[in-house]
Amino acid sequence: MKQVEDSEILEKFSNEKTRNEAFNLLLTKYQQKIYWHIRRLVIDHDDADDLVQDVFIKVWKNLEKFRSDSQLYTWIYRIASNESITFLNKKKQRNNTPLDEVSSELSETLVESSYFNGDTIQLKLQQAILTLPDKQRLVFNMKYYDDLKYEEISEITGTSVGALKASFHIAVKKIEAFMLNDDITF
Amino acid sequence: MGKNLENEEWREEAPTLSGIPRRDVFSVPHNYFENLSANIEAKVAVDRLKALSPEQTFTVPSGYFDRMKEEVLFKAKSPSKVLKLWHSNVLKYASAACFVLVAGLGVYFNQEQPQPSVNYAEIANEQILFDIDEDVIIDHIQGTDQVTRSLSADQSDLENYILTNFSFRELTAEY
Repeated sequence: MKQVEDSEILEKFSNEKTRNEAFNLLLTKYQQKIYWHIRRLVIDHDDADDLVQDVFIKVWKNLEKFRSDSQLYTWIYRIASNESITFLNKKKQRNNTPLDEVSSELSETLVESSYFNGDTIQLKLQQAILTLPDKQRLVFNMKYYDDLKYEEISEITGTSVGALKASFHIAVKKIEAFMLNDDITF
Repeated sequence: MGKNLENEEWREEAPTLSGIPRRDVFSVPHNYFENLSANIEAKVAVDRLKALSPEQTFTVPSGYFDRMKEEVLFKAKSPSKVLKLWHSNVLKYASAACFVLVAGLGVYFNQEQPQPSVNYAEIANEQILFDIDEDVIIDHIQGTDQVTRSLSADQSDLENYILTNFSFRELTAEY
């Protein structure tokens, strides 16, 4: 099935008569990508479900103001990333969780989740990713799972390409070390 | 091409991570993505409605809540009133007299119209008769009738005997 171009979505959205159709096309094109992006960050399905809906409400409200100097999908990714990081920060504050316990809390959610279907190695990989700080995790996920270019990630996060390369390099090293550590078994 | 090379660089640095198949290990509830668009569109519609209508559709007079606060505070601080049932002695005694009168009339009329007493023995007998088989009762009545008849026969014989053996004078004489 041919994917509709972002330019077509934006054109239709600018017309009051075809606005709903344009939004429906946008949802069809991006809802799954955005859901998985959020889900990998917040782990819990219900949290991801709430966030993905909030993200698209924001998209609906602000799409008219969207400037075509950036790409539509990087703009939506930016909203989703900011919403997820804000959610995680609020969660930490609400639960008064120290930084070093955040990853273990998310790991517990991962283990207890009924919507996880990976094997032991996959579980260990997820635990390794969860040891990373939130922003490093965000960069790692976008590179490892979404195959985005550094320029694209830079547009989403507002971080320089050099800083992103360094961040991803450190993240990979940490994960490799975690995976090689035989003391951590499940 | 550049994207592929860029995304493969790390593989040399992390062979263990590189050996793990890249796949999504999370799952979603059944039909989740089928309904997601509709759920989001419904939320957007609600959001648009909220934007169209003001938060408060009802209004109150200006300064209402300030006055309400003052009134509540005033009522809360003022001592509670004791309501007197009778404001004068005349009313008090008149009420007492009325009460006695009504009570007296009640007693009087209850005496005039005694409640019919219930005869429990009769009720018990009726119940016994109701419980006995009808044939048994018929047999019993027929048996009693024969005895009465035989008694009647004896009585007529006696009358005949008296009339035959005693004179009218003897029978009417006073003793």
